[in-house]
Amino acid sequence: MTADDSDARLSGDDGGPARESRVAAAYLLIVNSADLAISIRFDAATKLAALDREGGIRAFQTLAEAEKAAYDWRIKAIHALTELDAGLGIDAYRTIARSLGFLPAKMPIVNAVAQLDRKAAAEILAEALAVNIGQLGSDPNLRGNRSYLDATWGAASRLAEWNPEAAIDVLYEFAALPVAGEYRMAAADQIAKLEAQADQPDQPDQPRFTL
Amino acid sequence: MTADDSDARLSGDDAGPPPRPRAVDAYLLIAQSDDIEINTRLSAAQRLVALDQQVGIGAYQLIARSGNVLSVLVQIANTLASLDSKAAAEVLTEALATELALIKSSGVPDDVQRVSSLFGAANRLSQLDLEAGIDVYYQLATLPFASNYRLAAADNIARLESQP
Repeated sequence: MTADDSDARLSGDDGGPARESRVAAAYLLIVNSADLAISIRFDAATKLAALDREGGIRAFQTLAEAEKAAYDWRIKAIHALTELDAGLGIDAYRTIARSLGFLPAKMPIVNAVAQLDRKAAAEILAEALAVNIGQLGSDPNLRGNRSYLDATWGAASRLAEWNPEAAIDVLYEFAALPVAGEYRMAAADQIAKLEAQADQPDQPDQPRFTL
Repeated sequence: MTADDSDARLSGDDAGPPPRPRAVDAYLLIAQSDDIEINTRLSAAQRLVALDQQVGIGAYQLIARSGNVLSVLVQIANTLASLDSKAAAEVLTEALATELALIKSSGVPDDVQRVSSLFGAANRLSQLDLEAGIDVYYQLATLPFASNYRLAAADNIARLESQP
């Protein structure tokens, strides 16, 4: 008796849609079982997706939203979800980006989304930067952390490539922060540069700016 | 009536001035910030002049009023002189009034360099505003500086008053 035969006996049918539905339900049950190892749940979601695309989508969404699961597995689930439905995958990336505390942790998400949809990546990045500016405004320790300021600067630089208008808004808020004068001045300089570029349409892609 | 006039009337707008570049506001924020070092603030004002001369002049005036040493104020006045000589003279007049009030209350400084700066500023002011320069030299002549300074102040008054 093969394993498949055994499955058929267990499910009490001789194959066909009904059996497939039982198998899918079993996989879904495993996916939804928060007490199981995430690797097992992920395997179940992968097998479910092979049987039922819509079920696979729901399964990977469940894993992507599993807050108690390890971050890497959640990202793997989003990646798999993206292969089934890019839009839903991007939504999941957006959600997980919001759940992450600080900007540097969000950048890999932004980069992953950029490979799928640059506009969506720019939206996620602009939102992350807005949160980041708020954090910088309220946390003096963060304002004195140069590596964090450099990370903010790098993110604003990336946003300027994708959406100069949104970058100008962020840079203006950055220039208004009580951080080291060189950062504020560099932000103002970049606003001037981006506005000057906006006044000269049909220019080729501009290189990234540097501090 | 031109087609453009007609368009404007139809659309109901009178095409006000274009919005000010965000860069102007950003540089202005920096120029206004007392917590930023003076050279950065002056750089912001310099860039403002390139974008909007009047705003830039205002920024220099604002920086000048935020309690800087005389040498910085003279630097600001020198920059302003080519943009707006009246504004430059006002900066120097205010700066010298503050400096002279300080000397009157706490005594003549021993620091030769500071006294030289004072005379240098008075000289610059006299080039921008003759009457204001004479007033400052007069006060310098009346203060208990070393006699050579007081005589130099009087000589300068004489020189300025003899100008046509």
